[in-house]
Amino acid sequence: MKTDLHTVSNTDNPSWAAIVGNPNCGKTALFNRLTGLHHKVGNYPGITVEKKSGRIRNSRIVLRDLPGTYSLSSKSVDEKIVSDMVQSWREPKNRPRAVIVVVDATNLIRNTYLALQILDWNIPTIIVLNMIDEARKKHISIDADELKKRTKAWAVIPASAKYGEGIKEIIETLEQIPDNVRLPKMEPRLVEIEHCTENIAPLEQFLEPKKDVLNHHPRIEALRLLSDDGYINYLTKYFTAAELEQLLSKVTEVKTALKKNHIPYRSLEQSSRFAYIDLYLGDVFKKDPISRRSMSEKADAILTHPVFGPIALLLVLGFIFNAIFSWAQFPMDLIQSGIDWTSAQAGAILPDGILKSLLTEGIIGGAGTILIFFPQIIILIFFLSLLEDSGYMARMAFMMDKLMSKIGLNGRSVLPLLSGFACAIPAVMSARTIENRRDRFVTIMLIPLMSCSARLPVYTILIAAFVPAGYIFGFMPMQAAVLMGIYFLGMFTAIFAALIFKKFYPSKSVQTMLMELPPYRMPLARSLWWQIYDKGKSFLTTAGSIILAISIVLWFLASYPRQAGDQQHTSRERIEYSYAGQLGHFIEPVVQPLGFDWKIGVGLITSFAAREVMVSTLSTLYNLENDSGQSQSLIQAMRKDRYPDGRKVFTPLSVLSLMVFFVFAAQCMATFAVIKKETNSWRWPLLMTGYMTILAYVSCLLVYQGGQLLGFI
Amino acid sequence: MVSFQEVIALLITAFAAVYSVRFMYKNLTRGEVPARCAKCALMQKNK
Repeated sequence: MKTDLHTVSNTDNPSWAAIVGNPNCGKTALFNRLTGLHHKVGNYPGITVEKKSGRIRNSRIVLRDLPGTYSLSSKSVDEKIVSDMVQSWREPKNRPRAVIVVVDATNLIRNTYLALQILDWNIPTIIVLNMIDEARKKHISIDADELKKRTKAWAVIPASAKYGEGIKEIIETLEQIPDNVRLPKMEPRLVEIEHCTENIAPLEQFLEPKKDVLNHHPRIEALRLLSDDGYINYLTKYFTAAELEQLLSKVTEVKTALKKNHIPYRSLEQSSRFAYIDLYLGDVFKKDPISRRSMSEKADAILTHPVFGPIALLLVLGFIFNAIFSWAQFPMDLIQSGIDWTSAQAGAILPDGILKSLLTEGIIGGAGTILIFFPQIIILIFFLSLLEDSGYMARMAFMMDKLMSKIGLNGRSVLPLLSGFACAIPAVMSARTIENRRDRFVTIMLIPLMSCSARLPVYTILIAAFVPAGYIFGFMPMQAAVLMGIYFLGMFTAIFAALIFKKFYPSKSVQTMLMELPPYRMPLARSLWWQIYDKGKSFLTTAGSIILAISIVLWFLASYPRQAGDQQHTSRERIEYSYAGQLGHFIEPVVQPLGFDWKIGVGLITSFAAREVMVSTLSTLYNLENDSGQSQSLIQAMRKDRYPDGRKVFTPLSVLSLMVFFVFAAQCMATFAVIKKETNSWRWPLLMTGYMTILAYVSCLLVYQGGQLLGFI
Repeated sequence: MVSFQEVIALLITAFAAVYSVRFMYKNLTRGEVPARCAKCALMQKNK
């Protein structure tokens, strides 16, 4: 290979390499293996929607992981990231040292399409045949040496990012590529299609004088100009205005000629490349003809069945929601005891006074309460990661695809919506995989209706306090059923909201989802661990710090101002006189029709910073109000709390109303900010806040007032 | 007369208030969203 080389000017900066590949081919897993980082991986497409960088272990080479794409045409936002970067390689200074094309060894033909497009940039390209372990299991054999010879790739390395196979060879190969290397220009890896060459010749000839500046073969440029109307934007800076005009007229002329010959010019590159793969590479990989139906196919016969599939889905969800209560009970009790003990110790050590109140009632009693929910959040994240990594999440998307098109959405909307169960922020960002702008924005508007993990503490404390721990139909735990119902309420409302969007903001095009169902895979313990670790860490640090800060501020607002003869008043009178009490009573007329008292009203305001703050707010207020001298849990305090007239504050109806409020209300500053960023406009986050606030208020009003009219309490 | 304990408590509160306001300001004006998971943090960092 070295004989084919020549060096270019030292303006090249070859200390970085790019990783590209089809969606869900294991790019990020390979990136993590090579860099030692632990970025999120998943067994469904669309995990990487941004560029990510990391240095290879013990090396000076920096790797850039790009979003998955099937080709270099830029349709969706994430594909455009890849396309923009590749287009920048026209400038020598922007060219990477090497490109690693990750190829799914179990699906070589489709994956090789992108590899050929990359190879045509004449940059050292390493083709990594990832998931080679799965290919072997499926009796697929690939002749790596032959593939290297025929494609003229720098290297072809069989690898398994999952088990670490081939990683050393990839690093060694990358290290061995000399600095500032560039391969000689080669003929594009295309097959000539009948009548095509003569028809596109005028365009190719027009581009020929510019081939050194464009750094890309004129035939490929011509095919790309024919298939993608926006492609010309990448070329404008290399042409004068007059030349551009000529170029456009040549494009039109060629399109007309091709139309005349009934040649579909938009798919010319595809036809030509796949013909090349078929003709030159078809025999490089062989599949054992007697290979049996895989385990995945057998499982899918049941799990994606029109009748059994949804039943299986309900059972899976029921199991998860039950686990959130039953598995978490023991660690939650343990943390509760730890917090009670810490509070008692702090109370015993510190002398009576304001500092003791701040520590025991504000910090430990307020922010500490949130810690109790840590096990439940971890269990939810564990199961969501398990669903993603095993490949079941992709099946959920597949089952909902039809429904999505009926409600005017895109099949690609399903995964962002489902990932909204963990957190709306990455979900909103992952909507970038949706090509159609209208569908992307509508999906973003619906994501906050999916109950995120930050709402879990609010739901579970209300359910644990007010829903009995019995069984429905003798087998379904009631608390888990209520939690599942709350999640379904969000989902069904999203469907309803999508229909309204469809009516007032209809989609102009129907986009089908081209998603390949990944095989079921045993999730890697390491990957699960890092996802749980990352989530747990950010819950304790980022979310934890704002919860702590707001708990302290709230303690102050609930403790000041002090009245003359402060000690002669009861705790209840003191707190009602405080700033928080005054604020709560000020907004009480607005929230009272929903069944909420002033303390809940204060919680609704503070929870805008982070939804979990609702729980710490109630905890702080109840701690400050408690003058019995005995510690009491938040659940006990909520059960005992009464209005001055003796009515209970928390009744089944008001609890239901509060849960409904949390399902619908857009109380998340972070989501607001990320929507503003992703849509680049104030209109969409304001629309989201507006429609969700109205929806929350009206729904709670109907639940509470309607329930009372029907005789419920 | 403000006690020593009260001074400390008020200082802590002031610090927490400044932190909260800074957090919200960053969120809403500069679009820095709090990273609830590593993926979000990474996306923001690489933007």
